[in-house]
Amino acid sequence: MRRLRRRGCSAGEVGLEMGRGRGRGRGRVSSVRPRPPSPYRLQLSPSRETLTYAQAQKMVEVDLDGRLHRINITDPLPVITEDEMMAQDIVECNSNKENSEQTQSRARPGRKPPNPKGRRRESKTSSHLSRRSGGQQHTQSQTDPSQHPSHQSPLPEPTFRVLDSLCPSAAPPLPAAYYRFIEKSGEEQDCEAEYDMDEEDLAWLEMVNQKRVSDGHASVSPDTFELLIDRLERESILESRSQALSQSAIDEDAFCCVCLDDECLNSNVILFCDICNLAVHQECYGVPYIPEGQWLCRCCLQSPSRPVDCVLCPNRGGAFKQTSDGRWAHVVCAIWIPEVCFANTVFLEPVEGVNNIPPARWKLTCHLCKQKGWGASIQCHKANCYRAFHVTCAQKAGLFMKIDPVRETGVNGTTFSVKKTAFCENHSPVGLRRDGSGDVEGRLVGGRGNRGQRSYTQSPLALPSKKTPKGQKKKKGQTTRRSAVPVLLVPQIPSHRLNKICTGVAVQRKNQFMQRLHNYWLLKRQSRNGMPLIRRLHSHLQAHKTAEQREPDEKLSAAREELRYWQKLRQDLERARLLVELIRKRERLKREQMKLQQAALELKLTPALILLRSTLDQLQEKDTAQIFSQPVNLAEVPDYLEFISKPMDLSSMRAKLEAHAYCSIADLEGDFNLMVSNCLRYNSKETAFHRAALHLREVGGAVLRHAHRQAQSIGLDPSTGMHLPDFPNMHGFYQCTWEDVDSLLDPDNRLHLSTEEQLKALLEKLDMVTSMRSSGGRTKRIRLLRREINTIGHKQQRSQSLNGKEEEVEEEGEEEKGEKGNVENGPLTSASTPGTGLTNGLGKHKEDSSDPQSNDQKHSAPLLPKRSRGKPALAKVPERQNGGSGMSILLPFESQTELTPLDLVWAKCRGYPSYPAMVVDPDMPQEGLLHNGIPIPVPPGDVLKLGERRQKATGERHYLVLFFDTKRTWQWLPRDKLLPMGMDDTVDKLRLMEGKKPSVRKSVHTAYDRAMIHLNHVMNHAKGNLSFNPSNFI
Amino acid sequence: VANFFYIYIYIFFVCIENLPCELQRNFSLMRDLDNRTEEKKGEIDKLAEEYISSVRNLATEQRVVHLQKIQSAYCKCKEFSDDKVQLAMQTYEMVDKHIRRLDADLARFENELKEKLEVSGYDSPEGRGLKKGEGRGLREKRGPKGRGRKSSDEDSPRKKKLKNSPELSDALPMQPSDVLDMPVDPNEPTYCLCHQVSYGEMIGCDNPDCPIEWFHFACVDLATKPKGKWFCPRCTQDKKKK
Repeated sequence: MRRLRRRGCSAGEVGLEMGRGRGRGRGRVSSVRPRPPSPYRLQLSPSRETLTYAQAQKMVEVDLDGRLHRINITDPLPVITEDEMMAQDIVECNSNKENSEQTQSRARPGRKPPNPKGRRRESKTSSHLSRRSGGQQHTQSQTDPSQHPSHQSPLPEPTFRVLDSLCPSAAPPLPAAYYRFIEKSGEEQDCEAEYDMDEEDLAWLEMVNQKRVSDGHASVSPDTFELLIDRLERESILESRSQALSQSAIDEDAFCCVCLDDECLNSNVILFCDICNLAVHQECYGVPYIPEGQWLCRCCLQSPSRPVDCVLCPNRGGAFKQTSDGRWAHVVCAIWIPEVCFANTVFLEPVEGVNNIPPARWKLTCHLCKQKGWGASIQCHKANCYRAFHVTCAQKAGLFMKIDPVRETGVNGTTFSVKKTAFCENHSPVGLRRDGSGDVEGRLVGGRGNRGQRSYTQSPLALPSKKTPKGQKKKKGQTTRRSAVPVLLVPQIPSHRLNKICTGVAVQRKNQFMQRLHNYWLLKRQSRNGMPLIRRLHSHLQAHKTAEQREPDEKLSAAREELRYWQKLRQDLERARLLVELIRKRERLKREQMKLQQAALELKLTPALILLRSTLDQLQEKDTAQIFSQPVNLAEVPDYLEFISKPMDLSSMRAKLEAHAYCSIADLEGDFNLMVSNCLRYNSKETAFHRAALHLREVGGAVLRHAHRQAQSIGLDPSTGMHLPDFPNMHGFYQCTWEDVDSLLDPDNRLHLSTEEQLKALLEKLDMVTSMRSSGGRTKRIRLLRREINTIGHKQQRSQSLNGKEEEVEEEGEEEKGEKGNVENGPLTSASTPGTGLTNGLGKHKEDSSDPQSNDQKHSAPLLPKRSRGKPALAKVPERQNGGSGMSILLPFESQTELTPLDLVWAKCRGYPSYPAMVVDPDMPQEGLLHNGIPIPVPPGDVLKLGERRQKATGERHYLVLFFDTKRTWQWLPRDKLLPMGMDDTVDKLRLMEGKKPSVRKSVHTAYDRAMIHLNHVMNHAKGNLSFNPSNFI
Repeated sequence: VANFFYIYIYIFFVCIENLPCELQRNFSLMRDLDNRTEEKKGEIDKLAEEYISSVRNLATEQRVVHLQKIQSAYCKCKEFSDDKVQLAMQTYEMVDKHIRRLDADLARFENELKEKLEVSGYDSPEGRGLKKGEGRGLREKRGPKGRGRKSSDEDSPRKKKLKNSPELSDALPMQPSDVLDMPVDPNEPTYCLCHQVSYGEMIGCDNPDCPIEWFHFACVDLATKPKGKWFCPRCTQDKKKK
């Protein structure tokens, strides 16, 4: 920077001279100030705003040709005629030319050269000058015509003369705009000597020259000296450049030698001294702002040639600061020794208070270096421990040293201070002793012994005081260490290079001089700690270094660039993948949409068909055994068509459905019923097929009813199978309230309806209620509805049985009723209507209940062969006549009807399963009684008495029953414990299965057998088919 | 350093050269199918109108015939749709294959580059500082951004999908690279019950018709990849219903 400024100065001089020349060339302006009204000049003159009031008062402003001319009132204005004006122009041209010539051939007598160097500089800059002045001239020739735009005169003839001797007087400085710095290119700089001699050089050269002169040789000019030094520097840089690569300037593991920490924050970076490579934190060394370019530690800056010693400790190296009295001290020592402080706490300098250290501290002997009377020591903070150590010795030894920030709240408010604790190795806190990894929170922590060791060397001054062999050894070790560290390298320049350097220089006794010069240069470099003597080259070197370091990086960066390109490609591909993924998703959605569209259209075109289809699907689902799914195989049952005129099955129903043969649910229901009744007709009551058909009729009925309702609410046009144009009124099947249900439950409210209508209404309500959300009211009403449905069903049955209608279906209903009775423990019924309504309703109920028998059916059904193998219905006719007609006379249908004596019943005693028994009239003659010729046992007296008593106690009518067990036990039982026997196979079977233990079941079985035999006997006697054959089982 | 890389890349380049063409071919095919589907749809609409207007006068057989026409048209549409989905999946696989290949190559190259650096032992302080800074910067950048999506998840769900295909990126751990710092695409497809873009580990539902397909582990309460088949909550529900 300094160099640049200097060059700028010389340029300024040149500019001045030029100005001068012009003024004088005109020959009119005698004053120091030239005439101002050149527009060029005026522009440069301070603008009005910048003038003070007094200055402005002395100005006259003239507007000439659109330009503002400002003339000082004190300036004498010469009167110029038009002719003179022309002449002036000519002279001006001349003066310009003269000016340029003058500058080129300028001698410098006016300037006192303090040394030859100054002169040389002039010559050096002269080339510059010529260029500059040329430029100036050009601008002037441009401005001059503009000054006189109105003159149209013939071109003036230039007349000039060459002045032999010209002594330009010192010119006043010109404004900065005149000067422009053009940096020299590298080649230009290379061919001139950049080195400037200093006094030392001059002295040395003088000495050498004296010697040479005395030896009879020509003296060496300072220029030659500068050139040679310059070449040496250049060579050394070339040399060092090759070496520099091997040794890097900054090691990554650098640590601050004040706090021994390697933490490097943005606000507190580790700085390296450019000469001694000292590493310190900004804060630890008091460098608030990082300087641009080079940074030198105080030591290198102020005492570059001489290593300094700390006044407070015997160790060398590390971060020094000057004390107020010009000595040096370690920053760490100043931090730790209590009496010492920094005058400026930001810049941490100078160190103050060294004189305040009490003599006692000076006298302490460091137990680490054992040196007495050298430096000030601190002591272990442990109470009662007086071991002393130098701060730097402690760092070297890795003792525990810690600085904690402390906030103290006192009378004067809160003060911040630091608490420094240092312990000797015996008292360092456990865990931190010796093993250096224990840096937890402290900023300055020991346990970094190796670091400390690396950063300090013992002062040589301190060493001679110790004469023990130990000390010598130490010294030896130390010196080796010192030499091991490449102090500051001054690159060796090979001799052939040296020879090459001096080829261009004509000096007598060249070799000898070169040798001396080289030695001198080496020493000078050494004294400057290896700093290059030419700063530009140094910075250039550094720049070059980084550039060269970058060179191999370049390859890498090229590869990185390549990589980046491919990564970009990868990103593009990723984008493509995203796009394709989106497309894939879209296509999937489209497909879904297509399917939905199809479904929607189907619903629109054939809603009825869909409803029918779903109904049929549900029906098919109910046919778990798949008995009805396929048509009856006529090959297996050739006689099927004899009984069944119109066979029907689910698959043919489906075929009809797909052919749009069904217009409404009613059509489907018709076929369904046909199918079921076919099955019931063909198969005997005992077969699984029969039962399955009954089951299907019930569950299917529910499904169909639901479908009916749906169809109604949807509003279908039976002729087209499409929706009705107007929306049907919802009429509210699903919107009924409990009140509706309750009113319907009251029999009085339905008196106006026929039983069938009542039934229908009740079933509808039941369906509806079951479809509601479950609640307490719902289950209760379901139960009530069911009971109501049952009673109505019974009424119907009775009226039909009174009509004497005996049909197969009736019996089925009977059977079902029996089952239902069991399950529900409800009223016993023995007949049902042939209508679908009732059975459907029961079916619904059955669906809900978990009837073990229906489950049995379901499970066994798949195992059974198709119904075609079932018994023809005719086969069972006699049996039916046997059981059905006979018993139906004997036993009443109504559950609460009186049991007549000699009826067979299932009697339930407490703790026993139902057991076959016979109702006996307690008032029967004591001598015995024959029932159809079969003798009936007589109840013993005590049994009769017991019965009387029991009836009195409960106030209820009890029946005397005789069990069919081996002992023929008597028992009195109320009506609800008795169940008619032999009416219904299912009921009987259920009773037979009631026993939990196999032995009980077996005894029930044998008892049942006995009862049956008894029955048979009685029957046979009644019919008279068989002769009286008194049985022997009594 | 880059020799191997160049070889990789050259091969890759040869492979990828055809990609745009293939993409274009597939897309145009899909477009074609789309057009045909639209045509069919128009046809169907016409048929439906016809049916509605004339259903009263049609005999049941005629109705059946008419409806069958519509049905068959829909079948065609469905076929087209299936083809399109197939094509899209094919295209996806194609792109994905290239990506995985490039990833593997890049990772290999980056590793080599790193090794070369270490082997040369050249560690300029600036370079190291720079690298250090870079590393820190990257780490910071990636931390809050949390879009480490491509590295692990991109192949992890696919792992399930392509169990038998050789997993290139498995063999070489993907080097975290600048790819990760890709800007977020606002149109990125979303997945999972939460309808978010994919991140972290993802699991694919084994129901091929699953409408969602991919799920975040966290959203379906998974920590590790389950063994055997896995169905998403929705598909399990649907399955139970059936």
